[in-house]
Amino acid sequence: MKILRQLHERTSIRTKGILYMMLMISLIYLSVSLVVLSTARKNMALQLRQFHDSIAEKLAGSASDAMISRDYGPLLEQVRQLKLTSGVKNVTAVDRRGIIVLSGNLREIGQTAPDAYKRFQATGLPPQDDGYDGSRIFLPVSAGGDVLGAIRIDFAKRNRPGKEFRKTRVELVYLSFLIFAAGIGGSFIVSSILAKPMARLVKEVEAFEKEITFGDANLYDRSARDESVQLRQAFQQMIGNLKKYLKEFRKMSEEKEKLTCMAAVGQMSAQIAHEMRNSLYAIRGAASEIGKANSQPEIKEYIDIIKDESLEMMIMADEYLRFSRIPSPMPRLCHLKEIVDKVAELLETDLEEAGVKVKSAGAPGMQIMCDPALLKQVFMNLFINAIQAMTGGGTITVEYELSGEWLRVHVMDTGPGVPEKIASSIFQPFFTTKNEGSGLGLATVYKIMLTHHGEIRLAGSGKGAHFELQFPLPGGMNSRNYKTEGLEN
Amino acid sequence: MDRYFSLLKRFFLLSAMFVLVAAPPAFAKRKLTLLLMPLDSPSVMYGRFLPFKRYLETRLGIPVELRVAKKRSEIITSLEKGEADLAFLCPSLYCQASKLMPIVPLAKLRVNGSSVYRSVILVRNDSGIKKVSDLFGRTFVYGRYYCPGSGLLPDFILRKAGISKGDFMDVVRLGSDESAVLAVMARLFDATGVSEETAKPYLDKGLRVIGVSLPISQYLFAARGGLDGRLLREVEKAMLLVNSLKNPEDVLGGIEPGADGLSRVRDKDYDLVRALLKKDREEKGMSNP
Repeated sequence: MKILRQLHERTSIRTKGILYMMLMISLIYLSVSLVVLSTARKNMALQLRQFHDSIAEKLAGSASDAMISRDYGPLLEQVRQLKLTSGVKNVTAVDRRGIIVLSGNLREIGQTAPDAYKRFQATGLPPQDDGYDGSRIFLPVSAGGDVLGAIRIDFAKRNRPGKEFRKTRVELVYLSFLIFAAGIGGSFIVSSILAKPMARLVKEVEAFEKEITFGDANLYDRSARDESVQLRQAFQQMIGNLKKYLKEFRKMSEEKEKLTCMAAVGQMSAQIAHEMRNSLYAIRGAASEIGKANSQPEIKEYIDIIKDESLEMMIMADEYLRFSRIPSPMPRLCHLKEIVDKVAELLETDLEEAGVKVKSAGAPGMQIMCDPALLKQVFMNLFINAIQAMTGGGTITVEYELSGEWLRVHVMDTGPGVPEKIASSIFQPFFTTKNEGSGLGLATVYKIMLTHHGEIRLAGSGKGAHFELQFPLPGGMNSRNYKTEGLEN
Repeated sequence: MDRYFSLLKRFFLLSAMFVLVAAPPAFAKRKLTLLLMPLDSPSVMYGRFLPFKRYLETRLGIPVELRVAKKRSEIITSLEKGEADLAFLCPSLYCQASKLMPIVPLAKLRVNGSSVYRSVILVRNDSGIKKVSDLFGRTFVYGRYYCPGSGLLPDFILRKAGISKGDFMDVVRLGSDESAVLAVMARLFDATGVSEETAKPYLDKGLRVIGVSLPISQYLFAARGGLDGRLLREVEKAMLLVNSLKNPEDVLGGIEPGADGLSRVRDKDYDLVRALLKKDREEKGMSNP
């Protein structure tokens, strides 16, 4: 069944149309031929019967004359002629004495006739139902109603079909050639006409697909030659592509929405931070002036507290300002592993103090289009979070993976992980679980990833935090044709 | 004057030579007519003699027309009136014709190498008749009675055995020798008389011979007496030359089964037939044929 289905799909509608039409023509031709041959055979049998009857009638008349005149010479001569011309094999005549008076076998003449003749003479019934069995006629010889005897005519059996029948057969063979030639031509034209609109539709769908995929359509399996199958596959492919683009479109919309949201939050916080910073400068200045005017230790202590707290608030305000002012990326081809290694180098002291090791494994030649300064900030924030989480030391593992049109980077630590209840909020601005911190670290990472058309997600939080960063491969590449060496240059 | 006489003599001599050379041969008739006895239907007879007609035309260089007489007497009258030039005759008809008009025998038929033939009396094997004299009180059937082989000669055999037609219980004449033979085979009659050649195919089919006649000369070709002598010789020569053919049967086979040549013939070859005819007439109490 599978083979048949494959065969069905791999045969074009035109070819199938020709085959089906030829099959139909063949069936019709065979049916007509059978009817014609059957009718011809019946007609032949009927004509043969009529022919035999006419010969029998003539011979019976001649036999009647011969029996009356006792002159069998003319009858024998007639039989000889009929043997030559009409397929008469033998004629046997029996007179009313029951003696064979004429036979092709001269030895039989003068012999007593077989019982069949006697029975016939006694009852008037021939040995066969109507005295004819296709090759033999048995009939009475009479004159004026007086039965003079009987005659049996044996005809040569026709082992081969009659001339007319053979002629009909030959004509049918010629007709078959004509029908098949005309059938093939006709069915080719009809099938072409019928299949043409569908073939055109397939081409139009393909063209549309190429158009919507900007010439990058991953077309369906071309082994199918059936235009209807091609059309179905083309539609399926188009639906798949449309779904993919809708998904991407939705994702891009979400990204844009998030970026807009973050921009709004950043702008608002920047304004607040700016105003707050100015106020803090004023508070710090005023506190310094109070400290200069009063030398009382208590007041000096209060003034120091004011100064420290306002400094911390200023630092926080600076962070808000930085978040709101993340520059647009200036992308270029960069070795991702080099960026990661550079970050590890920058944080070397912190890592050592915290007893944390960094394992970065992967192809050194993996390149993506990115702004290295911004990506450095991404990995810096992730590494700092990991260091802070692993208070008793641990390991940060960085792995690289090619998947489809993406390069995935997995950053995993061996810390306590992220509690499930906050997992969905960790990338929101100002969300933090630390006593100190602005809650903008992961939000900044998220925002930078969005500006690189990438993604970041918390892939696992059970045994340590596992962040998966996803970067698009450089234009039009995928995991199959991504040549790391080629991109190094 | 002598010179004039000499020139005149030369002129007449040359003229005579011119006439002799330029005139057509005396036998150069426009065509010859060959008349046939009605031994079978006209179309069958025509077909049987057609190869011989063509042979003669080729040999003589003049057309030969075939005609089939409606009855025997027509042959004699046609020859007498000059309506036919040649005829194919049975011995008795030849004898009759030779009595009435000048007729020239040209060649007689040779069948299976023999220029003479005999007749036989046939009975069924199981009939119980042993000899011709046993036919007394029985039934007899003739075939083509007017031919010597089926009439004259069987009568001669019967007469020799002391049997006349009146001694039979029933005597019938049928249209052909074959009909007569079939009638005996079918037990319709006790005996028949036919030529030996006619009887041959039936001898192993239940018939046997109980009497044989004297041999007489075969059927012959003859010409009317008034035909040009040179032409007669040429026709006779052409007929006899048929024997020089590689297969004379191809030309003559149709005339009579087994015919394989033509033999030189003389009128006296038929004297025996004449004698038998005379005897027959005497028995019937006739003075003229």
